[in-house]
Amino acid sequence: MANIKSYYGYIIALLAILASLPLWVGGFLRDALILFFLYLAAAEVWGFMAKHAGIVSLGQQIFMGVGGYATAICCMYYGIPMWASAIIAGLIGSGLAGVLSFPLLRLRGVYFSIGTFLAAEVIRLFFNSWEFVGAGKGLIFRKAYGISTALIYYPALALGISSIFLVYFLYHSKLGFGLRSIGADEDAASGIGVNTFRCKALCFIFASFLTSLVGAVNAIHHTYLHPTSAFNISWTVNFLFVAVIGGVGTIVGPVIGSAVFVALGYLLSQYLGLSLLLEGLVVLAILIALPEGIWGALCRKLKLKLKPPI
Amino acid sequence: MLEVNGINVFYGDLQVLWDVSLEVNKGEIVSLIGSNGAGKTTLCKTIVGLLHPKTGSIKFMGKQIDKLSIPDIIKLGIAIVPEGRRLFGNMTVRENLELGAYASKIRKNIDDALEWVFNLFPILKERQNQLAGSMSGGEQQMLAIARGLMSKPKFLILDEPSLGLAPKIVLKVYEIIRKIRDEEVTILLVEQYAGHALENSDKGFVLENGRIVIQGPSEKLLKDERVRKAYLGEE
Amino acid sequence: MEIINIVNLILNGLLLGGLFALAAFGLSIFAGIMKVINIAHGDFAILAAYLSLSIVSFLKIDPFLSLLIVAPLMFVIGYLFQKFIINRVLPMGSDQPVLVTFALSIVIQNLLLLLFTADARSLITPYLLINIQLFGLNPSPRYAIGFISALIVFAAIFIFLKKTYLGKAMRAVPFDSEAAKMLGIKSEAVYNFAAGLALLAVAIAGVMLGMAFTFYPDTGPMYVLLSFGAVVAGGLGSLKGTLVGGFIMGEALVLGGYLFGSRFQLMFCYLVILVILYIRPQGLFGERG
Repeated sequence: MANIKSYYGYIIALLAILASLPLWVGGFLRDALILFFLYLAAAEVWGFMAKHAGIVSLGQQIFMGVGGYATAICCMYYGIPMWASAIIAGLIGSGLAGVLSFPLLRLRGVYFSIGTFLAAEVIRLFFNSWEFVGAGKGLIFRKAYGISTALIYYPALALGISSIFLVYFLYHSKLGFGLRSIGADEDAASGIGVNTFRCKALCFIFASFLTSLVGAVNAIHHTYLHPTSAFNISWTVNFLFVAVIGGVGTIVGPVIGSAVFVALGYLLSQYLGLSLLLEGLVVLAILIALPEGIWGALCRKLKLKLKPPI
Repeated sequence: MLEVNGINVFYGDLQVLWDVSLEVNKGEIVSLIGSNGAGKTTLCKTIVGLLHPKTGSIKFMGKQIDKLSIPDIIKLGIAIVPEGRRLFGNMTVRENLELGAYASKIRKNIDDALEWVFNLFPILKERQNQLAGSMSGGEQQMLAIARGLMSKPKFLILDEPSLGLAPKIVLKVYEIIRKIRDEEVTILLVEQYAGHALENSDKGFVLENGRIVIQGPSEKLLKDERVRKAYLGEE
Repeated sequence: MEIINIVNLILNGLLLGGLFALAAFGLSIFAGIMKVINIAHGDFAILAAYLSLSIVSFLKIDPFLSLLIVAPLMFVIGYLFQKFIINRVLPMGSDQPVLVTFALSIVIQNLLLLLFTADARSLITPYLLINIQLFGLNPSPRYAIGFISALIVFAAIFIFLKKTYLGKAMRAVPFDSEAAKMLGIKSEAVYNFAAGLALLAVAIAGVMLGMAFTFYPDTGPMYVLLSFGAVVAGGLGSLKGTLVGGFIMGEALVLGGYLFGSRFQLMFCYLVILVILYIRPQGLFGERG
């Protein structure tokens, strides 16, 4: 950890700049920044799970949806203050992740991935029929009206920054060591006493906590929830895109990826149907031709030998 | 018939064979002796085309083969009976044999090859519809050798044919090896335990840590002190 | 409910199951031979349905006849897909094929959306809507066609794998690819043909599914999940298992419909798949524990 301490000065300066942004940046650029940090956070944890724990989740939309709905419900039906609701939504999401760990984390590799997708579909179909949350009519998050984007920016920024720290410290923690040994050889890892289920479950729970918070902030930002959009696979597609084009499992990768994603989103905003198609094609091309992502390729070209997980 | 000239073989950056040369003449049985990890299987894999030497050359009947693909090498008349037999346990005896002729031109005249092989190994004819995985060790070794013969090779590599077999069965296997030589197949015999191999071959090469350290007529090697100590262990 | 109605339900579940099994054969081939779960599987099926739709509306022929064009076309697509995409990422680790097939799934769905819009489509023909009365039972002709096709396709694939050289190679390579290599069998080449064969089956299934149900560009994922369920229920690596697994899925769907209504039958089916994954992931005839 020696090298991170020497950069403390730079980090604090950067954080100060980022914190002051809403003062001199307005309009759609603020929206762009909110998107940037939210996708950054979700992609960081997705990538960490995928690369360092061997868990490729195709069901992140579960937590986006649950995070959003839980926030709206706590706030509107139970009168809990909005940001507290968001935190509670995060906890509910991570609780759900804990519960899902039992059936899903016994599955290996692609079986797990499909399992997450199955679970997401079940939950989506359920919400579509659940009258309490408005079922197919959706849910209008009235209490989130009128919240200024500046106020939403800070939680988004916080999520983005904390995801980086979370990934960094998780990697260097005992849990991270366990996860990496599982990623290398799961049977060998359990042979040396690593509780593979517990490690993977904890990782999944942490990641889901953050993702649920992202879903909460997103719901506050957009004020309308509908099962089809809240639990849409496109969430996972977007997070995957951000992580893959930047460099899966790296910290800098999703930063680049999220910037590209947000920029692309604005450039293509008039071609509504095209964005997912383009994302898919780009991800495909990157996976085949440049699997290490932009950051990985950059590091290779510049001969930068950085210690993981950076 | 087979000329290996000073090959150096690598697994990635790790060198496993150093300047290895050997020669097998037509009609001979040649032994390659070495302990575990000496590089015997690596050498076999290189000859058959699974690996390619970084430097050096391999010539078969005058033609250079070290850069060819496996199917091409098989078509030229080389076949291998891999270490550990590597049968397709989910398929029948007959199916395993048929696959032995896959790459060669024999595919069209497979009945001839099958007849030849069934003559050499009557028990396989009996069991032709049995799953390969359900046979005994000795029977599996017969099948593995038979499968190697299906492409009617001129040159057959046998990688540790006696591995894991009871002494009685090993004798039977060597009986078959001698029979095969009579059928005009040149043989490269690779073994860890040198006794039977040297007794049944014309000349031998000893491979240690990826290098040929001793070579010569098998009779001489049998009497060689170093060979006796390291590779003839308990008789 | 009367006995006759229950029997009718079970019968249609079986017929539907045949259709699902047909849909699952392609996935089974990918899973058993290339050891890859093709997440884009359902989308390929829907692609075939749309291709058929285009040909049918252009040439005014029966969807069955359109298969004469769609099936070989899909074979080629499968061959190229394996050769240029999957074979490239196989050596990169077991996660790459997951991400690649997922990305491809998204690409196909959105491409179809772009080309055909989000309108509901169907390949239904008048003769599939007739009411069949057999011993007092009411089998659905749409499902029945799928069931019969499933048996034919199963037999065809089974014979191919058992009797032809390529088929035997396709069974040998997943068992021990290095040994196969030493016999001169190139895994990549075998995989290419297997993928072509898989998508050929998928093409037939896609057209049948299009004749049985309305479809949209995003219907693919539902079919890959159900096919996955069939493959898992029957056991990985077993074609016969996939056939039986399909029947299980068909019965699960009709049972779900009967117990919980049409709104929840899909959800019930997915839950069944999750339960199977939990209690017996190797399936009924599975090879690995």
